[in-house]
Amino acid sequence: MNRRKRKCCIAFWGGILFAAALSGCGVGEQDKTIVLPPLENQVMDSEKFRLDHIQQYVGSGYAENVICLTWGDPGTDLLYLLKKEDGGYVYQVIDTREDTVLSSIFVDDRSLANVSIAPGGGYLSYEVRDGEEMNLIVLCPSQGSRQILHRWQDQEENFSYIWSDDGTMLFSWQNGDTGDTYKEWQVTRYEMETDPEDGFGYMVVSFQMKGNGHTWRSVCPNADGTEIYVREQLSTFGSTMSYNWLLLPDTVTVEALPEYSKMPACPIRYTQAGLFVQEESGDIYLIEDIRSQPVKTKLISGNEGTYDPFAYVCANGDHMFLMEWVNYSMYQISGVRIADGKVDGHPVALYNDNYESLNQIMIVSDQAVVFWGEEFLENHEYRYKVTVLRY
Amino acid sequence: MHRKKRSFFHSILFRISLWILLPGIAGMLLVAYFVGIQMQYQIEKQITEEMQRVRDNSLLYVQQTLLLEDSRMNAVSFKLYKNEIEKQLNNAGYREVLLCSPEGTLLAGDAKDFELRKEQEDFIRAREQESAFLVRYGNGGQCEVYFSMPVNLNGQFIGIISSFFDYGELYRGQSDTIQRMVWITVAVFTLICLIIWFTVYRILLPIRRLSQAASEISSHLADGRQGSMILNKLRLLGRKDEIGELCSNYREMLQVTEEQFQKIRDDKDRILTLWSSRQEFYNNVTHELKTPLTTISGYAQLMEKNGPGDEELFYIGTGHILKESTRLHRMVVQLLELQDKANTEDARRLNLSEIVENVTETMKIKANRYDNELTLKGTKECLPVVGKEDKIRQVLINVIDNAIKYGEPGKPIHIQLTRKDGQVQVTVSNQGQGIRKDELETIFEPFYRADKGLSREMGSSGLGLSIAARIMEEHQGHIKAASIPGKETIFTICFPTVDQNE
Repeated sequence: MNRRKRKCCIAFWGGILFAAALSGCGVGEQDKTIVLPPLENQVMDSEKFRLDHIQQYVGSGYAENVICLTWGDPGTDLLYLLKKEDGGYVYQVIDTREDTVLSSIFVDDRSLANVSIAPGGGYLSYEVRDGEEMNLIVLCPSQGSRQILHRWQDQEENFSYIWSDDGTMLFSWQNGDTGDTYKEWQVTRYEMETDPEDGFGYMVVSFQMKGNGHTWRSVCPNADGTEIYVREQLSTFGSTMSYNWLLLPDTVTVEALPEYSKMPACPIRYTQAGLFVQEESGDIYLIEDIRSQPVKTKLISGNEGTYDPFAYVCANGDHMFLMEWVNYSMYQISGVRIADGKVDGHPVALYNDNYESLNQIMIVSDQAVVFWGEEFLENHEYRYKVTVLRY
Repeated sequence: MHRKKRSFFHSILFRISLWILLPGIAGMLLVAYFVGIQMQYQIEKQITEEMQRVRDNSLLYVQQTLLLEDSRMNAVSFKLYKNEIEKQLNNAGYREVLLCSPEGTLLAGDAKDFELRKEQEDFIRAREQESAFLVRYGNGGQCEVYFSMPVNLNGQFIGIISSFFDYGELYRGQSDTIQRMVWITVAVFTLICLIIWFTVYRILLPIRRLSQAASEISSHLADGRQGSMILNKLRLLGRKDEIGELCSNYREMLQVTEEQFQKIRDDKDRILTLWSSRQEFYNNVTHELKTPLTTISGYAQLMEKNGPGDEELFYIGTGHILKESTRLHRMVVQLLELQDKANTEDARRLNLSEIVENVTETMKIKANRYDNELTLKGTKECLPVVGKEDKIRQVLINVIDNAIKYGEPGKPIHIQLTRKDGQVQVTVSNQGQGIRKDELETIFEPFYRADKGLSREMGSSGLGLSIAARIMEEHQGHIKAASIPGKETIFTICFPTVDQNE
């Protein structure tokens, strides 16, 4: 018994001494090499989505003077932009290869708001105050003429605008976050017609929408503007009330659509493949057959609302681009193909850059992602920089 | 017995301190060590994740640089646009960037850095088309990371990128946090140890006091003084916890011990007294037996010497021999009576008045011989007692006989029966020289004689009162004497009363 007790004591104090010795060693000076796992899946995914070319153009002049811009059709390398100069706003067409201004048109010397350039640069829409009224004006730069599309009392309503992919139709609607949400509102399609002889005209189709008190209003026309998906929703106290419609301007009919989401959902794009939406959780879904029985397919998982990716979908609905913040100063654009209503592999990183270079992203002609921002030069100037990712 | 001095190293306090403090310190050291290991693991895990992102980003930077230059993704382009790639990587925050060919020759970057890094394992791994990083921990919280990766684009190994990242701030930050945690733990542990130490000290304090008290008490045991009062000084008896209970039990134990000690002392005294009485008794017996035997023997020898012719001696001698042998016989009988164990099983109810009256009547003859008069009072009432009549008669005869023999001739002897204090008393009083006060206590002892010469002359054996006292003791009564020397002596015989109806 005594021997056993002695052994236990020796083991105990030995353990203590060992612990003390062990802790005395510490980390100290040492080198350690760690090998990273191979990049097998990523290599396979990158094979599925490749960029053909990256083009960058850094324009002259200060970045803060550029109000908005758009890239021309593929192959033209033309840049259309509205910039503010000393005398007022000027609309310019720039050949980026030669770095020359092809044309420059004076737009207005008043303060402009809600400026939007149609894809292809054929039209420029903007709001301007005229006395007590606000005017929605569309400028046709090729003819140098302009039309007032709409007048309304200032402070009554705020409008949002979006151009169709072909750049000939402008869609407008009243925002729900201002004014009386129970008041009737309109979704309007302005179809531009330009004839070298008859000049510049337009056709209007307007839908009268009932005010349901819902704040969030989304309007997504399809690529050719023949169908307009509209969603109105209100999320209060954990419950979501929403309405979905499909407006058909050609026949001036309105179809009520069945609901597809139990959560607040933000429509991204209405395409031939279906409706792309991002729910509050950040998950991105494709809704097919929205007119009959919606089929909901999850494409990308979000981050529960924290640093969710911003999604951009091409008109055909077969390419999706995601903009994510890598850290507080870097962003990354990745892309993924969509086939048969599903994502084909994981998103592939396409481009990384500093946050200054990203003000706006747009998809041009289903072949390029264009985004522009600022570039800080060594002479302490900020210039606007346009980056084109061709795929 | 002296108190043993206890060593601190053998105390419970020391052992508890040892068993808590040392394992606690060892535990803290171990925890600190393993937390350090865990911290290192977490940092390496974090660096690994970041290096994976660096690898992805690096490939992306090379790819977008080559795409911007509208170049093909091959080793030649990598070499051709090395400066643009290096600039892109530097803009992205990379430090000490080295661009190398797949064969490991330097394309861009500092040659000194290259010489230092080309033998590092991460660079060697990169040449084998594996991405790896080397973490270098230094004293003073340095944590340097050298990352090397192969550039594989479109399935081609087109070059190597190596760069440096400083994680010292992260490492030091986490080290500081752990150090603070360890110090806080040490402080909390020290506080807990102090509280435990103090608590144990407080718990053990009464036990130590009890131990001291026991030690002091044991030192007094030899003197026969237990000193249970020492316990009262400890101020522990009021406690209601286990210590108080222990102390209370300990005090009770001491009290029992004290009582037992007292009993042993009394028994010892009694035994000594008994031994002394016995010795005296035997001395008296031998002396009393030797005296008549000497007389008998002396006269027998003288008669043998003178022969039958000495008629006068014959008569005187036979008279003495007869007298002494009678006395000897009576003494032996009385000694047997004294030793005889009383048998009160056949005791019966008796009327004491009748017995006293009868005995008085019998003793009147002897009283007349001594010119004394016996007066009797109190016999009209029936006074029942339980006992053996012959024994009671013997007591009365002995006491009255003594009163006659030692009373002054011509003076009356009063015998009186009374019922007093629940007892039946017979008092026998005479007038004479009396008994001294210091002798009153010893007159009931065997062979005691107040006046030895007179007593022996009167044929007394010195056993009468002893036998009377013994008989009264057997009858649950007692006998006592009171005397005024030169005046009066009163013997009182007390019997327990018996209910008239019993």
